[in-house]
Amino acid sequence: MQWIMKLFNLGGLILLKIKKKVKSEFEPNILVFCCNWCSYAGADLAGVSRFQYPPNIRIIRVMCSSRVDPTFVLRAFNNGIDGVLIIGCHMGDCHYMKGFEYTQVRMVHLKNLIRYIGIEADRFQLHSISASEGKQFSELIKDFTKKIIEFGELKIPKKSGIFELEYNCTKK
Amino acid sequence: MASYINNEIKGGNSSFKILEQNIKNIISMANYCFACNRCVNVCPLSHLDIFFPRMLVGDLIYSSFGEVLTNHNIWNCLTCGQCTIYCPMTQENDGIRIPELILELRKISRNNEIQIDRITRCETHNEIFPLISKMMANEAIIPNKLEFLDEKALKTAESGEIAYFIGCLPLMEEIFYNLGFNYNNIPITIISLLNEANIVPVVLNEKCCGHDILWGKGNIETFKKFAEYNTQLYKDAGVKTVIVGCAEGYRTWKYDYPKIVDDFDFKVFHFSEFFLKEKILEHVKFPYNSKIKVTYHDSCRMGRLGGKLYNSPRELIKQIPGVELIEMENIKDDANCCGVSTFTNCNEFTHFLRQNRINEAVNTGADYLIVTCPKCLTHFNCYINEPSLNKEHNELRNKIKVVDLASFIGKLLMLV
Ligand code: SF4
Ligand code: SF4
Ligand code: FES
Repeated sequence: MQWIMKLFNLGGLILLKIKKKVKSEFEPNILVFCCNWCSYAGADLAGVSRFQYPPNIRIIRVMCSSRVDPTFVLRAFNNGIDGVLIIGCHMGDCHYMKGFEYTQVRMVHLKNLIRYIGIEADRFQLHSISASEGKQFSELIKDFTKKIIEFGELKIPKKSGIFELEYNCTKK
Repeated sequence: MASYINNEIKGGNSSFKILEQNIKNIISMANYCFACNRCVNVCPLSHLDIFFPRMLVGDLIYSSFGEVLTNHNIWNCLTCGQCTIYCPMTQENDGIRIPELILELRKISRNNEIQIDRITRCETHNEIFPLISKMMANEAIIPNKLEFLDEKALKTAESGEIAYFIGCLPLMEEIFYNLGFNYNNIPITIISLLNEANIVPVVLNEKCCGHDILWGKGNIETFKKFAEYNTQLYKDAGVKTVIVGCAEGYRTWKYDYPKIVDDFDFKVFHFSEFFLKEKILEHVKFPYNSKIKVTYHDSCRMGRLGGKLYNSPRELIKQIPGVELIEMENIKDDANCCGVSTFTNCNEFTHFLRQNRINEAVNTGADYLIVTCPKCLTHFNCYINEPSLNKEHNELRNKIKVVDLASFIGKLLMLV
């Protein structure tokens, strides 16, 4: 019996090693703000139509992209998020008429601000996705994740537990 | 004393030694007070019923530390220093100085639970400035804010004797992009005037000076990081003289850095002081000679808390041909506060203070209100431009313009 146990243990060890190897590759944490009316529906469509995209993102749904205050983005970076994406409706399609235009003006300045602080400006991007563009959504996430992996880890130390919320929920 | 600290402060502070020293400072300062009530009479916040310096000092002496922190909102004080002028017990390096007392209190109590809630409530602009400071404080982050210099043909150096400290002006330009003026005009004017006098200043990617995180948050650890980084950066570049363009940076470089950095040996000048010393404006030709009436607002960080630098900006203004300086009712030591310091406490109460000051400026009949502090510049402009149902308020925009001293000179010389 004992040798079987030993084999199991060995198997466990090998498994652990494989896991470690996978973990040591850089897995970025990416935060995505989606507006309720277009881009969130687009993300939904991507899911429903089973377009694959990397699992590194977490989506926060907001009613309109103009709800996102510049400090939300800075706060995300300060907590150790490696990339932030804001996705709104296409120009002129915003549910609240001018919301996306406001966002655009604000985010041009925010991008400069991030560069001045000393973080690569392309870690933060603004895009538009409509409700029917599931394919484009998954493509966008793929490209963005690739870019963030190229940049590497953000130099700001990570706060523990930001991305472990789900895990904690299942644990009760 | 140790038990005094342990019993009263929950949350604790990392370095106990600093704490004990702080408490000693506070108690020894508070003991000077003889309750004459003069500070309450001059404090602009006591007139608005939100903060009473004498009561705070009294509580410090007669009751416990915890009571002070629950009864008074120490984050409300503007640290404007108006009380220090009238307090009979205030002396240069001795006696009671309320702004410094408040600073010591803030250093201790920032980790206290009730206090954290209060700090957040006092913060303006959704805490964007402390956030930026916190991010910049990381060692691996090196700011990169000199882009705006590339557009203009300005001469700057990497190493040399004279340095110009830009501070956070390029960052502020990106945050307050909608106020109708350009903060970058200040460094552009100063550098090009220095260039005209054949001085090539050292301009580096320094971090934030740390003034806001110290006074507004009481965060001494982060402040120390900034102080050490900036002084080391300048030491490596061989700098001996530092020119600062803003009031808060001036105060921080001149009075706060020497206290915290060992072997600090820089000469610190406000740009107006330096321009007078080097006679820079005397050699410059102003293209046209129009009659302009201006008035000048003394900021607290250059006046009461910054070595009473009242005359050099005024003399600089007088050197501009055709410009007439009309003084307001309350000037120099008595100058009223703009109502917001360190980007905290922008509320309906301090709105009154701004209203007061702008009305004083309008009553002089001047076309321009000249300030030297980027915060005064921001807050006065915000007040003037805010939409209102009041007709008179909406007309303020046409009556007076708030400008910075450097960019005012730059506009006249057509440098910006
Ligand atoms: S520093 Fe200013 S706000 Fe604070 S107590 Fe003194 S006068 Fe009042
Ligand atoms: S003015 Fe000075 S001595 Fe008088 S009550 Fe205030 S702090 Fe005390
Ligand atoms: S609702 Fe989509 S951007 Fe405003």
